[in-house]
Amino acid sequence: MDASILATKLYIPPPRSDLVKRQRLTKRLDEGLRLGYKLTLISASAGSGKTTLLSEWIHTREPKVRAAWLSLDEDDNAPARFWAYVIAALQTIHPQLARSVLPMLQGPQPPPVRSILTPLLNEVTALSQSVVLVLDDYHLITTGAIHDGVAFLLDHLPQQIHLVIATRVDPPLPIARLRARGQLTELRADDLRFTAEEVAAFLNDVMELDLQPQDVAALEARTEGWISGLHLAALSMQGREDAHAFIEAFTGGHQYILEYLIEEVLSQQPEPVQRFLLQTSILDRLCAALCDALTGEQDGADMLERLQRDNIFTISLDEEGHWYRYHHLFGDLLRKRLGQAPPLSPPLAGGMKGGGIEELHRRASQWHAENGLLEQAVKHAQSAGDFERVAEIAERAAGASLLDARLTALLRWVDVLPEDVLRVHPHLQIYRAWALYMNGHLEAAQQALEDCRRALETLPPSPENDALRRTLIRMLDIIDMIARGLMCGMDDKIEEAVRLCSQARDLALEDGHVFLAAQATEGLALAQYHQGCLRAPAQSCQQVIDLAAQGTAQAPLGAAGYVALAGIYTEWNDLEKAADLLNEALALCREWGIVQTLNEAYTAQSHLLQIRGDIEGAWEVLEKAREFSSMEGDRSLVNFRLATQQARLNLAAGEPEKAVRWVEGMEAVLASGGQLPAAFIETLQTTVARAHLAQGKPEEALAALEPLLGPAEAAGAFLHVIEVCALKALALHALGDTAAALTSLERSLALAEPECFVRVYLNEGAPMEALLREAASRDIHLEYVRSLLDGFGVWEYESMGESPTLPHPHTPRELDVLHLISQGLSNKAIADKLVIALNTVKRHTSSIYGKLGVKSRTQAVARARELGLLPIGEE
Amino acid sequence: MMTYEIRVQGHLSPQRFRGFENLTANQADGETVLTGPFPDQSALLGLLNWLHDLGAVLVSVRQLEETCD
Repeated sequence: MDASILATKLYIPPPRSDLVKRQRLTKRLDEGLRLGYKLTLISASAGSGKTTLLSEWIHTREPKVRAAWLSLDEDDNAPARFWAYVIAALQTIHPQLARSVLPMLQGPQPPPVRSILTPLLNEVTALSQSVVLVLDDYHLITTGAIHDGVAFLLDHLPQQIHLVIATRVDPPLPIARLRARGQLTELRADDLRFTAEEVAAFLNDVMELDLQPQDVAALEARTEGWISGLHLAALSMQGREDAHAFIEAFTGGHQYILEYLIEEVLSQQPEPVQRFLLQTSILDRLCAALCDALTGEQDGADMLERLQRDNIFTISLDEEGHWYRYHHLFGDLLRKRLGQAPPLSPPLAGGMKGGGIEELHRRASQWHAENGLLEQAVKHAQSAGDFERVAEIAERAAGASLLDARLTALLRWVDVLPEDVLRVHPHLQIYRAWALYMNGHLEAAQQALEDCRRALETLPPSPENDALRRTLIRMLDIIDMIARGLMCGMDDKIEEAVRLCSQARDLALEDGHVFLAAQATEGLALAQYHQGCLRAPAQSCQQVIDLAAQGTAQAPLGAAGYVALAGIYTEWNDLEKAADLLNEALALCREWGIVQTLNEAYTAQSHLLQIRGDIEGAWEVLEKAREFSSMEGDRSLVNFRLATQQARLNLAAGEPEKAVRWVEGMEAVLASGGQLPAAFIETLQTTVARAHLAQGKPEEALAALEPLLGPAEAAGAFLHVIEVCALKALALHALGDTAAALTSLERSLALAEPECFVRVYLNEGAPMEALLREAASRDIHLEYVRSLLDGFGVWEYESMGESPTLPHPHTPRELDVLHLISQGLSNKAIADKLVIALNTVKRHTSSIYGKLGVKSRTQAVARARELGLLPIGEE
Repeated sequence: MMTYEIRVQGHLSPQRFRGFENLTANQADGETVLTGPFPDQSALLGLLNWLHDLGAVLVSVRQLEETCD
């Protein structure tokens, strides 16, 4: 199980030996399950016996209930954490469930909840065995987004899950609706209240008090059948002669009874036990070693055993009897008691050096930190008001890893630190800047870097500080260079981007910051690509992948390398290789929960499917990308790429007006004074040009393209020059100016040939094929143009909207042609034999190649045999 | 079953009453008056908690009558 999941939260509380069997209630729980109700709600105040009842039911029911248990606490109010725990709980029953989903939730950028719940519910629907999911202490959840998610879950709950919610107050969930539909089992305070018989059974049989009937009746009346009150009263009376007088003496509401009785129970314990209870009450979870660390004694194990034996409100949290917690109500009152001044008695104070509760928290923090439980260590350090300690722990955690769920935790911890503590921990500030940067908050990251620089300058001079300052300033410089390099790359300052990124990479490698080196190289690849290169960025991408493979800290970065490399292989029209690379990327994204790159990988996959003619598949995959799109809005690079792919699909579907609408929306941002990077504007304008071309408006297309060329040439953004010149050639050709069209095409080809661009031409389809034929007939880049022309017709079946892996049925005539090809006849011979024109044969063969996804006669025959279109062995 | 009347400042939209659909909501004088049956204190506190999480300002909580089931 994942290290960040506390197994104790998933442990079903064991049945108590001293139980009054509550069959009237377990029967009702059974009934809800048997009738297939969606929800059981147990809503009653603290200490009503909710958890005990559920534990009894789960452990004694025949046939057995398969229950997934989650004990919630206040820390579970972050949706990602809440759902990670829900999935972890379900995995205690079905270990394979939602394996691909869990890492997403633990990644640095948690995805929208529905994108998690939908696949989870789909997987649950496929289960053969049902499961009871118990959410205990649901009243501790106060986050609206979690309630929304649970409501969504209830609305879509497959019959394989029965949900049980135990809570002190009614949750804001659509309960009335379920109640009206009769899909709800509800147990409330009135139901949980102990009846006269149950009270008698508890006091006399379980607690062995041997009370008179009138005393039992009086206790029942005083406590209103409230089990915690009864339990405390019974504990107070054990070994007392004057039970009757004791019962007479207390009266009042629950709270009053509780405080009165806890005082009674405590005062009956020997002093060491009292001290132990109070000191350890600050803990959410107790184990012997932790208790010893707090109390400074060696008797933790004996104490816990004794409390368990005497039934003093301790609840076991695992099979091994290692972890315990106090009953919530009891713990609350102990803590309240601990906080009261003066402390219980001198022995209590004597057991602790320095200031009471803070010292206890400090010790708890230290123990948790030593045992690798950093969340709890930070929590106790904060409770102790010891921010220096928080900083130390954060610094340790940051060093270990910067790219998983801890990144978010790190930001949370560092953000509570006061200025003066931050100032003496310059490392933390750098990590914080880097974490902000990784989460896409570029401006905040820049600010953090500046703060950090200023903080370093104020360090008092000493040999040690000087060395530290030198190291850190160099690290700052590297991060700064990467951030600026990426921004330059987007803004058509490409040479500057290449310079900054390669310099950052070299410095980072020199200093051994592999993680930073990989990030810089990724930026370098992007800039080189914009320069109109393919081989150099392919090498850079490979370097990112290699760097990432060196260790787990930077492993997730490999995903971005794979996506970028897939883009280059797509351009080379090596679609198999591109698909393989994207699969590598997707696997890494899922493993590490890298939502942003996952989004990019899906977008790239959508484009790949579109090229292969699988338009429907392309839309589906694009939907997946959208599910994982961040909230950053249209102007983030990732979301922009997604929208660009959508516009491409609009164009392919013959709906240019939709693509134009998107562009106009983005232009409105510009018009209202917003800024867009130059790379975005180029993409928008080329999209408009394509839409105009599709609508038969070449003049408008020219007008959109013309202003792009000068700036792109000047900036050395040759990727754009290649594309814009090709589109411009199409527009000119459509206008009938073939000579000008060929001049523009020639400029494009001259830049594209050395790097072997392919898709940039093939993507434009039939008009480009016609234009290239013109070029070939005039010997323009003849060899290159011929190789490009070979590529047409292979995957161009967009209008049919199906994947080439599911071949379209061949027409009878095509099957005739295929048959003759397999017999080795030339096109001319086939034409003669079938009495059709040579061009018609060529059209048929091209169509056959397309449907089979092959490029040659030999491949066509082999593939047709595989598919059973031709008899095996026929020559 | 007890009937309570809860008054909060401002106008709460009835669509937001998920889970408390059996309440009636009336708006008057810049306040929203919620009235409905509550089986017990856990149910009432559930509503109050939720109003609190919404940031609503409570004006009054009043028990109107005690009704039998």
